[in-house]
Amino acid sequence: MFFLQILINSLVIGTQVLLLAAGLYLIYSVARMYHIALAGIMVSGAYSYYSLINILPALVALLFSVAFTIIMGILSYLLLASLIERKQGLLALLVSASLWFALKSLAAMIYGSGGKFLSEGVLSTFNLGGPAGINITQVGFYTLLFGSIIAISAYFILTFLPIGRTIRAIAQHSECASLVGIKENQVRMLIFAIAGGIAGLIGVFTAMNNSLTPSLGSDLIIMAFIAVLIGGVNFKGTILASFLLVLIPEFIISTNFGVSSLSSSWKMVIVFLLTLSLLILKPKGLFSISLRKS
Amino acid sequence: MKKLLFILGLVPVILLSGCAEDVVNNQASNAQVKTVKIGVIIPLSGDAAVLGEEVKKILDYQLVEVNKQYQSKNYNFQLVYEDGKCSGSDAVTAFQKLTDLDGVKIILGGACSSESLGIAPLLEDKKVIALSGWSSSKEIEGKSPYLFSLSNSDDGVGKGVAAELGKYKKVALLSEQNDYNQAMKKVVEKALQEKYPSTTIIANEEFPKGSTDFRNQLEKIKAAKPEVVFFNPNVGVTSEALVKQLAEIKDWNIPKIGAKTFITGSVLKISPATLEKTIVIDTPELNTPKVVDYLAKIIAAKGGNLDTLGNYYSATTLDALNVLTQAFVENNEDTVATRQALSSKTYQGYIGEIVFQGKTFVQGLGTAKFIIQNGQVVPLP
Repeated sequence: MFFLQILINSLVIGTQVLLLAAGLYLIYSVARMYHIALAGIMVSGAYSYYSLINILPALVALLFSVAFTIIMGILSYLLLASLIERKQGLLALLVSASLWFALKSLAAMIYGSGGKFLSEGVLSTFNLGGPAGINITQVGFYTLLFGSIIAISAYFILTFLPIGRTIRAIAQHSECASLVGIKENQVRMLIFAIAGGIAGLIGVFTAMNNSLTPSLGSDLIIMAFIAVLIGGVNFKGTILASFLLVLIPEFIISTNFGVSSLSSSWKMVIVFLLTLSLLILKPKGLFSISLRKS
Repeated sequence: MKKLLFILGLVPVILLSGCAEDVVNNQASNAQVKTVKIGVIIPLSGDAAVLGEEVKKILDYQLVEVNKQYQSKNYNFQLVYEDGKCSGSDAVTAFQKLTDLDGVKIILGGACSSESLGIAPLLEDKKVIALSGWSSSKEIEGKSPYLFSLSNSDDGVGKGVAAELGKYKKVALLSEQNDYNQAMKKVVEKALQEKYPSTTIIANEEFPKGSTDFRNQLEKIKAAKPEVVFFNPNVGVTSEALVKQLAEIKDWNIPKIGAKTFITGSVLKISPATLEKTIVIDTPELNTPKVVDYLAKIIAAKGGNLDTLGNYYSATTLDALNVLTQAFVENNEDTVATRQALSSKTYQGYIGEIVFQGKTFVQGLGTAKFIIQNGQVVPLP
């Protein structure tokens, strides 16, 4: 039961990383930049939910918060559009990082930098196998549920639907894609909007499951970024990498007892060692695609 | 025409002479009132901000009383707040701003032990006195002759915790990685090793400062099957998140021990059932009518509550301001003489007799044991 409990808890964290990584991956595919401001959009979504929850029902507040982060995704695209078109990925990354810090600081100024809780009291849990069985908070369960739905849907759309082929076309060769009539800017804006909405949703769920601070998502976005890199900028690779980066460190730390026990402060050290190992073993990523050079 | 000009010329002279008289009078009265700035370094942001907010509430109220008290001596004290963010580096920045820009010579703070440890090395050079009502890490003892604390040293509390843990064979610790909690952990570990060798720490877990996800660590501790767990997080959201997640584990049957940074009023409200029968080791509670009534007045005037500070640290907040201003005035604003006075004399405060006897921490405080019953912290004999 202990290992199953650690697995369930880690899968929740892994799903949080996956959803951010999926947004990063989709944006990188169409824009060739890493939009780490998704962490700032995630925080904005969580704080907007915090503001609305006292005046609206929970579901309505959630929908409004996601709508708000969709708009933020679009606005962030408009901010970066010219850099993306000029293929200035590094500069776009710097602007995206600045946007993240600005959103974080704004949240701290408006709401204070102290932690807050989105719900009072103890979170409701689902129990499998009675009190001594497996516990998962309801929020954690919905994170897994929505995460699975979004990940499977994204994979299905990217692989089988026309819009997925459009995205892959832009990812492979944006100039040729525009020559065949694909409206790159519209597709990019759509992707930024979707990624923003997903970031907002996961921001609310993460804040509900833990607590809300302006630094919410800081560790998650770093792990999501690493997941995209070691996944080989490939959706299957991103999914696998997101869970590997969470499950392996969590299991190493959680199952290490006695004198040699590692504290949770070692988590990011293990993540980086794992990243280094995977990049040495598979420098092009876990599921890299070999492209024919023309 | 000449007469008109003469009269017109007289008007400004008459007016200005009246102003001059006012200026002279004001200058004379201003010269008599001495405005003294007192720096305050407390966490006004971050997870421990709740502590800083309650301290500010008390200090703002008490400042009015202090100024009334010293009005006859023409003193006007002003508090200048700086955010220490419960961190040494931010406390140093705050200290430099207070001393270089605001010219303060006396400081209340730091609140967190990290803040006091941060500013301690800077005090003697500038002859600035820092009196903390709240810093408790034993690491600050002897760090600076200009640093004083009205708190109980963690040395005493940690030994009290070790005495409680020493009743068991297998114990677990869960500590936050910050100066206060790490110092407490070291005291507990050392005391267990020296005085209770038959007690083994079978799980000694730590988490980064400000963490809010403890689920896997709690499961790990549970799986190690200790007989008791000492919870050692800092005050604020960290403690609250820890109790919330502890409450999610329905089959947690392991007894719990904590200090008052873990068991604050806001934490007790989250899940009284989870904390039932938790043993708390800390400074004896102050429930004298003098303290209780005065704090009630502050709450009535300022609103909110003082749940995080509790009675004792609310009283030390009052005493810190009162004692510091008293010593400063009695020694004619000479900080060298003030330091000497604080170090050697006895003062009276809400916490009783305040005497440092050349040490950093106030002397003569003991520790007490409490138990959580029905959501209340109840003293044990």
